[in-house]
Amino acid sequence: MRRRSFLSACALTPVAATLGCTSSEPDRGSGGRARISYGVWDQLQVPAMRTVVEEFTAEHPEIEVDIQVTPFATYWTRLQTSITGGGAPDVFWMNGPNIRKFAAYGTLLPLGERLAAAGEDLAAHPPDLVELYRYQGEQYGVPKDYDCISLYYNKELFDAAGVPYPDETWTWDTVRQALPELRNRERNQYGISSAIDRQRNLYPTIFQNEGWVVRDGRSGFADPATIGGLEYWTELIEADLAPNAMATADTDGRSLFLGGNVAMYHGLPNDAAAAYEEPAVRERTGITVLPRGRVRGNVIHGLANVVNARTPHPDAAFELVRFMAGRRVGEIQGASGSALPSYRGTESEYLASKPEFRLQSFIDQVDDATAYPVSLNTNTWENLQYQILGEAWIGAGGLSVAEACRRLAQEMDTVLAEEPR
Amino acid sequence: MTTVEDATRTAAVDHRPRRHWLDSGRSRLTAYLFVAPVGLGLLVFYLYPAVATFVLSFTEWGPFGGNTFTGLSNYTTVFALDTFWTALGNTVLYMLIGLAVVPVAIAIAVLLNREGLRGVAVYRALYFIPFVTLPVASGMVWKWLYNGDYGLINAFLSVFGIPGTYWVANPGTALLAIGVVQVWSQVGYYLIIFIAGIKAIPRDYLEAAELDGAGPLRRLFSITLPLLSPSIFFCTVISVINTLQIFDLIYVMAQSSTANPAFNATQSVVTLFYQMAFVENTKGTATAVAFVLMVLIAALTAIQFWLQRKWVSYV
Repeated sequence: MRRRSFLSACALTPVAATLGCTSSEPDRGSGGRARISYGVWDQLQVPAMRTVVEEFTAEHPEIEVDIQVTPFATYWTRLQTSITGGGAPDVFWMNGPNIRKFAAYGTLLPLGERLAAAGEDLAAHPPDLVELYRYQGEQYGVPKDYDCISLYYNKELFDAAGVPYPDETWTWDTVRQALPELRNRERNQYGISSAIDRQRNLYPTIFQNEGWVVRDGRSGFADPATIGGLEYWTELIEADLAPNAMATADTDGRSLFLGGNVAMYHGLPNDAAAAYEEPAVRERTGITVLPRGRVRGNVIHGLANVVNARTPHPDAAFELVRFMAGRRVGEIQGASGSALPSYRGTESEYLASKPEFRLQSFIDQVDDATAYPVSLNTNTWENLQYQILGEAWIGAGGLSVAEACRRLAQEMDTVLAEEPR
Repeated sequence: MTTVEDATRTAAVDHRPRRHWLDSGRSRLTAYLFVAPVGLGLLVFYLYPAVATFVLSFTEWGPFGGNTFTGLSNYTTVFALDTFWTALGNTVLYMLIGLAVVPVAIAIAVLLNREGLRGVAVYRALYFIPFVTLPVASGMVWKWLYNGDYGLINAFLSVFGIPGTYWVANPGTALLAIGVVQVWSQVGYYLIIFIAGIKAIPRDYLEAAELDGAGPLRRLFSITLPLLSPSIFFCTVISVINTLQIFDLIYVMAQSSTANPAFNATQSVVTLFYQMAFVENTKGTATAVAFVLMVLIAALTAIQFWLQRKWVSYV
C-alpha cells in the first residue's frame, strides 16, 4: 500500500466506524424467524441456560435465542444504559433490589394478561417470590430460581474442638457457647464469620429477632428488634469470637470458611459449588439450618425472567418466559446443580447433584423465610447500610451498633421519602 | 537617502518567502485532514461530554433517562452532603500524598545519573513497568500484599515482631496505603522526565561549581534543582491533576463488592461520582460533583501557573 493511501485510510477509519454503528434494525433471521436475546450475568449457569434454549428452540423452531452474558459488576449499569439508548436484551434476568425501579419506569412488559391467557398461574413457585415480582397489582417477572441461607460448618474444626455438629436444635445461645471452644488464636481461627453481608448475615438475624427492614416507606433499622438482630453479630466481634469487618473486608466469609479459618458461616445455595469442588473441603463440610433466634427466621430471594417493554418481538419473548416457568426448565437447572430451581418438586435434581451435602436444609427453611426486603430505590439505601454499619463492625472503640442503626434509619427514611408513591 | 542598513532590511523583507507552503488552499486542506481525527476525537470525547456534563448538572435524571431542569438544586444538594465534604477532604489528602512522587522521582533520577552507574536502562525499565501496568492489575496485587491475615507485608513485619493491620480495611491506614501505591505506580513516568531534565543540564555548570568548591549537595540544590525547575513544575501540575481524579486504585483496593469499614475513609470525589452516577443512578447530582471537581482542578492548576513565576527558572 502506498503511503498516501494508507494515511487516507487511517483518516477515514473513524468515519467508517461511525457508519458501521448505524444499522440497528431489529434482527430478523432468514425466513421470518424471530431472533431474541436473553441477558444473564452468571457464567456458571450458562451451560444450563444453553440446554434450556436448545429445548425451547426444538419446541419453537421459529424463534432463535442468543444468550448474552454480562458480568454482575456491570450488568445493571449496562442494562439501564441500553434500555435508554436501545440494544437491551429482549428477555433478561431480574433481581429483587431492581424489580420495582424497572417496573415503575415502564421498562418491563406487563405479563399478567398474557400469563392468564396462557393458563399459567405460577402456583408451582414460592408465593413470596411471585409476590416479589408483582408491582402495583401487575406481574412483571416469572421466578426462575430461589435461595435462602443455611449454616455451613467445618466438621474437622468441630471434631478438633470436641463440639457436637450444629443441627436444627441449635439456637443463638448454643452458638455463643460453642464459639469460645472453636476459637484458636494461634491458627487465627474463629467459630463463625460475622461479615457485613446483608443477605447472608444481617437479614436472617434481623428476622430471627422479629425485626424488619422496610415497610410502608419507612426504615426498620431504628426498631429495637432490628438492632437486637444485628447486635448478635457485633457482640461476637466485641468478645473476639468472630472476625471484625476489617478482616472480612480483606478476606470474605466464604473464603475464610473454605480456607479453614472459620468453623461456621451463613451461606447461599450457590456457595455449595465452591465447597464441593475441592475433595478435601467437600469431605469436611456440613450443611444445616440456621440457628434459631427469638424465632426461626430466614430471607428468601430469587431471580426472575422479565421481558423488555420495548422488544420488537413481545410474543416470542413471552413464549420464552412462559417456557422457563415450566417444570422441565426447573429440572434442567436442578440437574446442573448451579441454581436451586423455584418450580416446586424439581429440587430433587438439585439435591442429587451434591449428595454429600444436606441441601434439603435450604428447602426446609422456605417456610421460615421472609421475602427479601425491597423498595423502589433499593440500591440507594442498601449502599448506606455498608457505609454506616461498617464503623460499628470493627469491635471495641467503634461506633455502637444501636447508634449506627439510628443514623442508618434516618438516612434511609430520607431516601424512602423521595420515592414516588 | 537610503542607508545600507535600510537596504538590507528591505532586502530581508523581500527575500522572506511570501507564503508558507501550507497557505495554498490544497495543502491547507491536507493539513486540516491530518488534524481532523484528533480534533474530532477531542470534540466528541472531551469537549462534548464536558459541555453535556455542565448542562446535565442543572437537570435531574430519571434512572432510564428523561431529564427535567432543576436549576441549581443539584449543587445545593451536593454542598449539603457530608459525604461530599469527606470525599473532598480525602481527595486533597490523596493529592498531597501523591505529590511525594516528585521528590522521590528526583532522588531516584539523581542516583541513576551518577557517573559510572551500570545498567541504568534496566533500572529505568523496572521503575517504568508499574506505570504501564493496568491500575486494576497493580491494585489487585497490592490488595493481596496488604491483606491483614495472609498478606506478605504483614508476614514481613511479623519477622521483626511488628504487628501489622488490615491496611486497606482499617479506616486509619487505608487512605495512606492507597496513596503509597499511587506514588509507586506513577514514579516511573516522572522519573523519565527528570532523567531527561538532568541530562539537559550542561556539564560545564556542574564542573564550574565543582571547581569553585561546591560539594555534591550544594551542586544539587544550587545547580541541578533550579535548572530542573521547569520539569518539576510540569510534574507537580500533572501529578495534582492526576491524583485529584484518583479512582481505579481506590475502587479495586477498598471499594469492590465487600463491605469495607474504610469505605468512607477512602472515598474520593471521583469514587463518590461513580457511586452516585452508576450505583445509585442519581446522574444529576453526580454531574454536579464532576463539575465541581473540574472547577477545582482548573483553579488549582491556574494557581500553580501563577505561582510558577516566583520559582521556576527558564534559562
